[in-house]
Amino acid sequence: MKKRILFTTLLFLTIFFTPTWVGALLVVVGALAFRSYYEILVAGLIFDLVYGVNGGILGGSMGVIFTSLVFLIALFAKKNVR
Amino acid sequence: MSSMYRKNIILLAVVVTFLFCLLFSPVRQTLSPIAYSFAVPLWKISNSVSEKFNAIFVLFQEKNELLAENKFLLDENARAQAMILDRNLLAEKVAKLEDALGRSNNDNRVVAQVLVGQGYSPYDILVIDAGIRNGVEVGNMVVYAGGGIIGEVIEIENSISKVKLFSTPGEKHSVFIGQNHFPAEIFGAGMGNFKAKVPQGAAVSVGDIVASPRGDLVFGVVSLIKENPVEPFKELLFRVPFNITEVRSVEVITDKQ
Repeated sequence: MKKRILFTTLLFLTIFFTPTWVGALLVVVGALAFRSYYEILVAGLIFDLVYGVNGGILGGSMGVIFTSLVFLIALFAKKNVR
Repeated sequence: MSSMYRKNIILLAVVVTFLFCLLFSPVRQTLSPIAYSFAVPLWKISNSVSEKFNAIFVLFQEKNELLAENKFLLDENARAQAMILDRNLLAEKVAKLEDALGRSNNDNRVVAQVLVGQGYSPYDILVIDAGIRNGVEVGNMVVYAGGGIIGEVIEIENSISKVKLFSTPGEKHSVFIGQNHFPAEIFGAGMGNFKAKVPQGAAVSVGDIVASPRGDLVFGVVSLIKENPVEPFKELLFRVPFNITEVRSVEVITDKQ
């Protein structure tokens, strides 16, 4: 639980302080490392609220779309690997 | 299908639907200021810490000092080049205005710091620290170093604005190229780069200034012309005359007269 909280804090900080690819990498790692890692969806929402614009690329919802896909893929992957 | 797995899928669908609802206006307009109330202080602290850290580091390492100085001079040089372009255009404009008997070309500008620049977001935007309370409005032009046009304000909050770059892929703008003011349409190609197609016979050459239709703002300088004599058009490539990733402050034209 402690690891999960620390990782989530780090993930949220990367939204503000690092280029997008760093956050994207942490989203993938987190989704694979933790069970039902719904926090990435919140990270996606924050990303879109801060950087996204109405009518922008993918309607300014790139963060939510990306994190949902990662969550879904991680869910499938974990089910089939187990 | 296990019940846990099915439960996760259903929960994901519900959560994602809810998140998409949050991203629609006006809910988004309510939530964005909350996000910025956390983000802006963090960005300001980050910028200030990185500046101080750089300053301390440079004191102890002569090599790094020279590198920093070199970087500063390069930045200044890029800025100066943009300003020269601006001045050339202004001089030309003044001459024309004298002929036409005086027409004022004043505008009000608000200087703003760039809080988050290119590279931090795939949306090709800048977040600047000027907003409604500074008189900024949606649609205001944003320039660098006096005359280098960068983009347009597309969203505003009380103390911040989002600026969409004109070089965003897919963006289209009308311009005049060179001394003959050849009219053309340019397309954004990302990271401060643009493309344009002009007829083979167009009197356009490398080094020509690409300016806005009013002729007072500079998009860039033609740097490459790709042409094939058998094709009816030739392709121009050009970029803004400064490094767009290193822009730290910009000017917002709030009232163009």
